[in-house]
Amino acid sequence: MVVGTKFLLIAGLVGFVVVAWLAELVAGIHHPVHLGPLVAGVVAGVPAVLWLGFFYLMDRHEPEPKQLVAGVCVLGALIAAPLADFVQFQLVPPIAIETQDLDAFSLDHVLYAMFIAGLAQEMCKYAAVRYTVYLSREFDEPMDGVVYMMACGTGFAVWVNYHRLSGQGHEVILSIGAAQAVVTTLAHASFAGVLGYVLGRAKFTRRSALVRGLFLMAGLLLAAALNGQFSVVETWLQQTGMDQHPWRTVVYAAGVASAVFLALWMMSQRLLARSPFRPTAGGPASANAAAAVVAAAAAEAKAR
Amino acid sequence: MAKRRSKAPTVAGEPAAPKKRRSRKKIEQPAAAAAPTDAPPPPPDATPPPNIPVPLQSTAAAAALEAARIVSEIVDIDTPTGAVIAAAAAAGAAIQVVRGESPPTIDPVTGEEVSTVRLSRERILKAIEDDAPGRAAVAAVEAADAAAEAPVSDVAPVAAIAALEAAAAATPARAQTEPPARAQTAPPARAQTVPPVERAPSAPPVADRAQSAPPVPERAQSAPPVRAQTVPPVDAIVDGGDHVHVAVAVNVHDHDDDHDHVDVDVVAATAAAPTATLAEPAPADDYDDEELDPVALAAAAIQRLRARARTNVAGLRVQYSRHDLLVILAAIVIIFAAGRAHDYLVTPPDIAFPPPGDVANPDHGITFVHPAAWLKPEATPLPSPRLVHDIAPLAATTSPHAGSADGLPYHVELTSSSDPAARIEVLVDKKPAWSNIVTDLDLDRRTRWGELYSLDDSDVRSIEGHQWLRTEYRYAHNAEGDVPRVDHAVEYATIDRDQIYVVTLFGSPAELDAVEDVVAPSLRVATPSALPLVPQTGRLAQRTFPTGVQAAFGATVMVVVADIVDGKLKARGGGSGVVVGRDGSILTNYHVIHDKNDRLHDVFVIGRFSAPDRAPELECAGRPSRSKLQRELDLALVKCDLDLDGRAWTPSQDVWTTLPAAPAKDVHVGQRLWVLGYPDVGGGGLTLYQGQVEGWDGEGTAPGTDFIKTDASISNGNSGGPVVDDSGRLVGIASAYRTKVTASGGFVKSAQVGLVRPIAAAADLLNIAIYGWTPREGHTGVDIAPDSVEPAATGVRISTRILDTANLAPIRDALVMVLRPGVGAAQVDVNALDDQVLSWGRSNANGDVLLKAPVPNPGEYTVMVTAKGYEPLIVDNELQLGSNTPPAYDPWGQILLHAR
Repeated sequence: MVVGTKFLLIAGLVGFVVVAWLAELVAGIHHPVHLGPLVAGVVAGVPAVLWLGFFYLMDRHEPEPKQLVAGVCVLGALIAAPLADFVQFQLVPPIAIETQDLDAFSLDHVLYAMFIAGLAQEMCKYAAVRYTVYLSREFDEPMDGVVYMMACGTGFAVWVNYHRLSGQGHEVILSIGAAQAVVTTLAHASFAGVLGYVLGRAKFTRRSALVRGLFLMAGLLLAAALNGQFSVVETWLQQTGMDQHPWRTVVYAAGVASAVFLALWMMSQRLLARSPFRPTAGGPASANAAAAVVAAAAAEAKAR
Repeated sequence: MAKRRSKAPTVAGEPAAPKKRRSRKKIEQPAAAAAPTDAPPPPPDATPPPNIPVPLQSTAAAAALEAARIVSEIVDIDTPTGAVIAAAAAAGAAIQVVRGESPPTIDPVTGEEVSTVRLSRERILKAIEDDAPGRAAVAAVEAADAAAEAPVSDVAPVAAIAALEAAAAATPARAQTEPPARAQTAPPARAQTVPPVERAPSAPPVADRAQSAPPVPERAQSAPPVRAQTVPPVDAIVDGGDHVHVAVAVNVHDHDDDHDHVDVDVVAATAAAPTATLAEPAPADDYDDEELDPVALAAAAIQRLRARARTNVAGLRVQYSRHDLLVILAAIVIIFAAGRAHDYLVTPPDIAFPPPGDVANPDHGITFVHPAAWLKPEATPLPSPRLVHDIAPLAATTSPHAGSADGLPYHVELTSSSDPAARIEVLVDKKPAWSNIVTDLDLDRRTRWGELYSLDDSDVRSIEGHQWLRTEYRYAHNAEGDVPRVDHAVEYATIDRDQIYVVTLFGSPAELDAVEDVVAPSLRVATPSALPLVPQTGRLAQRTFPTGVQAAFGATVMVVVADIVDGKLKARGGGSGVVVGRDGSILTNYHVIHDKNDRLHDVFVIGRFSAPDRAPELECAGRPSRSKLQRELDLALVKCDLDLDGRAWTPSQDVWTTLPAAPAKDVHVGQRLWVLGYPDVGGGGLTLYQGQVEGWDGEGTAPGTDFIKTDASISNGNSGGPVVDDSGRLVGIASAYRTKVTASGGFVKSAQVGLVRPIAAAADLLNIAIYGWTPREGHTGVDIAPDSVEPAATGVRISTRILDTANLAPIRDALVMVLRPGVGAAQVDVNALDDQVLSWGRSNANGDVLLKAPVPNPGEYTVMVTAKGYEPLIVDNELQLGSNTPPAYDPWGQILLHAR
């Protein structure tokens, strides 16, 4: 049943791009168009909703409260993303007279993509989860870290996509815009999910606070690096000479995001296999739940 | 935490062992003694695998056992906190079962029976009032909380034991109905039973408790399994609204076979705490039972806990970890550091201007450093002047200053390759003859951008000991094919003996900041000597003066003269002037507005006093060729008729301050004088010099009273400015030169001496100013016989109405002129009217007209009326005024004009 729903959601995502493409074909639009706020909102929002449903179903043992997941998603869109913009453009103010290297892989590009833009974005997603739902009693197993962070990343992607689609004077080819929205959402969610994996484990780890902090930092940097390489390689792929190749970046983004997501999926399976909420041969699920509650208490007692 | 954990095994006298092994080991020690009376008969099989479900057993002991077993698989019960948690879980389960509050349910998945406990803190607290088990539960809660909270490690196990015992007490309390004893056992009291336990970990705590509470032995036997639990750590997680929930779900499986094992496990959980207790204190060499009273510490901790439990924040704090905040801080630090590194990487290096060996852009004496991201300098054409553009053709034909062979002006522009809106302009030119560069540059900018230029800030900065005038301004411009926009600019300018250097930075404010940071400190000129940019003497801020003199500031104006050279307006010099008419008439020296070739300059610009030691504010412009001149007296009367953008302009009435004239008889030798003006030193504001009347002098070498001699400093640029007495009355006009008109009619400056032309000498011009006049090309003469001009202190203000004869409709803009006495219809020269008109007025939309100047009476005057589209009317001696004519008079009522 659940697998069927997941399949439907993925089919919906593909269908979304196809519909955009067909709409373009039928309407005979062969040039970039300017999307109004409404259309841009739909193009940015629909993939987010579908992906969110998909991610939600990943946590198969003890589904999180829907309103919490949705709330975290909204937090990602309305708190984390604007905050990231603020950090990027205010805390690190733009340079008035700058000469960027022309090579896409030059140090300044990599540095900016990973340690300024990437890190700022991931940090804000992290903060949006760490200081809200992380504190909640519903965050009661490591897998929840993945679910909530992916929800946050999904929301974050909505903001990013919306502004890319509807920005002042921005024009997009509809099909490419839709495809980008789909893969960007997956990418942002997956990068956040990597951090969420670490976050979830960190909450219930038995290790010292220092180790736990180092874990989190490493997770954050990993997510930032993944995020950063994305923009660097995208820049490189996008342009050859004077030609633009938007589809290349879509394909690359889809590839990388899927790869990260698959890795995350596999890691999640490990978490799920050890979930206190799993039904086991050794006892009823609720016994494990009780144990989990106590384990959480133990972790906190230790953290104190 | 790590430290504590590593210590524990050592202290306990055994190597660190995996949790499970250790638990099991402990289990075996107290097994026999711990058989609970309440529990069903233990099954013979003593070693079932821990995960095998056991049948539900409704006794507290079994519940506690199972809870402890589950917990011990999850937490490390070797640590104090682990022990506490295990104990807490067990106790909670036991209490729940004993109270029968949570009947077992069937797990839908496995079909096994499940016991779930849900307690709220409020309910627990309420239980204190109700019964002993409840109180015991509370004691367990608090003890475990205290254990987790206590800063001293050995309190944890102590509290854990207290919890265990409290829980143990709960069971018999229910079973044997003996609450009172337990009720009295407050947490500290219970804790006091602990030390004996510590000392004999292998012995069942039951025995020890017996010492403090008689009923204990029985209780103890039924209780051991129960001890395992304190709900509180669990409790702490769940921070809700008003109360805190404790939720411990426990599986109790009852297997007859397993009963032995059950007992064993419970004891294991129980024993874990004492073990931990011992483990902690022992490792510390200086540990002394006497030194730290664990009971007292636990009691204090409980007090703290109680206080804390009143706030909802308490639960939150548990979740809050400073270490995690450090992650955010570290990330921000990294972002900052990366920002700086990125800044360093993308900031273009600095390169020198002019580029070394650049033949096309030779060094004109100025060097500076700028960011490399700029295109090569390219020559730019000088902008055509906006000011007086309408007289450019005139100037082009008459200007003698065309072309220069030395490559000046040198004007190049560097454009940013990252943002073409950002530019650096370099201008090197011959120093203007007149070195007041503040006004000169202001004029220059205004001619480029006209009224769309706005000065923001201006000050003098010293760079490497050389003064530079830094000016910030905004200007509106409209590049070809671009939308009009307002941009910012910062200009650095200086002069040396020969040249003026202007470096202007254009761009967005952020770009300006970035570029200025690089360029400004590196500005150098070849001869860093030069003139000061602001005058050091005569500044108002440093002077004291009578208030009467202060009133003269507003009447003192700067007169800048300029020529059109190669299509560009160039300031040629300047002097001062004094306002003598409320219509904006300004009296100055003739030699101010003409050049050494006796040629009138193309334009004069009037700057008015703004504030002490600030450059005057440029207000309006006019043409010397339209002024009234008295060459012999070296005097000129000028009036603006252009604005700074070169459009026709009429001075506002009554905004011009005039000065009363000092009667000649009041001027005597030794009297104090004040000379006001804008001398030609750099670019400061109004200056004030003090002196006294030293005597009189005549024209040339002849004796006479043509000039007042003074010792006040009168230098080039003071010329034309007012000289006033202490009460601010106008004594004369300062003149830096003695001039003479040669026999051939030429005009030469004969000597540079500071003299004052008495104001009486300017009577003719003053009269014109008082009557009012209109600047006109070619009407520079003052050919009025002095005796024909009576002072118009009294007279008649003439008014009338001009109508169309056909329909009596008012005629707008009709001109009513009263001609001077002696000028009749036959003498009227329509091309020299302003010399012949005594007073005039123009009708408004209602046809009403009021002559501007009063007409002296008595007298007979010829009147002329003209209007566009109507036949002119001129009648000899039409206006006849008697000595008794009222001061306001309409002689005709209405004047009718015929349309052409």
